[in-house]
Amino acid sequence: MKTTYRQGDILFISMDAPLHAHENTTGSLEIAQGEVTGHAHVLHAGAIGFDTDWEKRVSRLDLPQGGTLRHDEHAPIDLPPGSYEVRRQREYAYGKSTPADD
Amino acid sequence: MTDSTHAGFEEEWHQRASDTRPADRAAAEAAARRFYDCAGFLGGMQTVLWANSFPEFARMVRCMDRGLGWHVLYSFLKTSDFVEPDPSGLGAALANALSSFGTLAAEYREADDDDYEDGDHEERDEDDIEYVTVGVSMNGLLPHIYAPKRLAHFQDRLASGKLPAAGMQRAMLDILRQCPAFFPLPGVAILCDNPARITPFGAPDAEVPSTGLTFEFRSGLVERFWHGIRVSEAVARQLSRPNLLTSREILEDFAPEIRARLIADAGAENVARGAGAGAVLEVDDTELRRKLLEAYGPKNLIFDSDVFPKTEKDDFGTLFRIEVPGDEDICVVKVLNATPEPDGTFQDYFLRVPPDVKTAREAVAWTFDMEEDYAPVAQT
Repeated sequence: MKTTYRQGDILFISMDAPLHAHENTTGSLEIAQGEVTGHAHVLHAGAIGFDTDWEKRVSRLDLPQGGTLRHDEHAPIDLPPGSYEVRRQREYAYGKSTPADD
Repeated sequence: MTDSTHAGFEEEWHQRASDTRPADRAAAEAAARRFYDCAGFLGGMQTVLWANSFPEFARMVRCMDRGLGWHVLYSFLKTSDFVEPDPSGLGAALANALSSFGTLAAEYREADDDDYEDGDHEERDEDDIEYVTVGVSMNGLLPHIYAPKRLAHFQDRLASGKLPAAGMQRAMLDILRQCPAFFPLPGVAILCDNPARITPFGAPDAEVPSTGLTFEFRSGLVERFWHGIRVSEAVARQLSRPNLLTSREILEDFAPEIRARLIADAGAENVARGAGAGAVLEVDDTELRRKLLEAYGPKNLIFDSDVFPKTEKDDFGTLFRIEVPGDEDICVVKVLNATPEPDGTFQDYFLRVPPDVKTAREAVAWTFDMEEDYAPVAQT
């Protein structure tokens, strides 16, 4: 069973294989901005490797030192060192799925 | 050509649309004769038939045209640019009313083999030009019926000397200065007289202006149109004050195209909430019912007093299931936010999920594109 962490409408799935990220940053990285509430899920970590999907959203993370995910309306979550896939919550609409409003 | 000149042309055509005097038949026929002379290949104008009303005009065209009239108009169209349909005003209403008779509105295109394989065609003529009746949406494209915006465009082009078939265009404009519709057949021109009276229907004190028009013709025929849709007297009476219609009346009393227009005007969410979930679930048109249910929103649907969903509860939330006759079930999962609000309460939220999920856990897992392995070690 995969280890998962959830903060509101964002799910982090621990990856078995290490990620060779294409982009890097330090300090903090915005993972998702709530379109309705305006509150963002922000990752704080010493070193952050990441990939983005075709919509330029963070889709995978590499956290060699781990990190902490913060959001104004949710308690923080500590992510252990490792690589993660990032998934956003979706809704169903007659055969299609659409991003859930946040 | 300046914008003000174009606006002047358009205004002139809009004013012309309200003309209820009998057409000057001699002037119209003289212009039609010039059109035939310019067209050349129609064999000259031998006979003129006058229709006394829009439906009579449509019947004449339908009975007599074997495709060549459309072919002529297609050739004529190729000399001009595309012009968007008129958005509003009496002239647009007149064009819509004329177009509502179906055979007057046609789309021209080169036929291709796929159409013939699909059976989506009427008849292939010798030049591979196909015409397909498409209804009111093309009224701005039709040169032979009254459409102020397009006619003003013709005037612009004539004034700038850019029209390759200027004689035909000028003659067409002169015809339409006298009467609202014209159709050229080999040797026979069909012309339509002006209505004897045009009156908006609707109470003068109605808060929402009615867009309905009643046309009375000299033959005694009376026709009513609402947004270009032909309606009966009884329906016209109902539509005369659309702001007084209840949501249930909108859903239950009208033909599909009128209902669709009323819902578009009132807003799908307003109509759905006004009617209630029970009434929405009984809408026979699947596409419309789905649209209204989506506008209603999953949470409102669950808690509407007309609906009694089945529920399944587990540690991940509550799954609600509403059975929809003749359609897939609507499933909604209620999830508690794991972090309490400042006042200590927990906010819940509702997400629609596919009808084949069986448990709340499976439903929440689906929202993250996971299956039975969904079990977060931490969630906030």
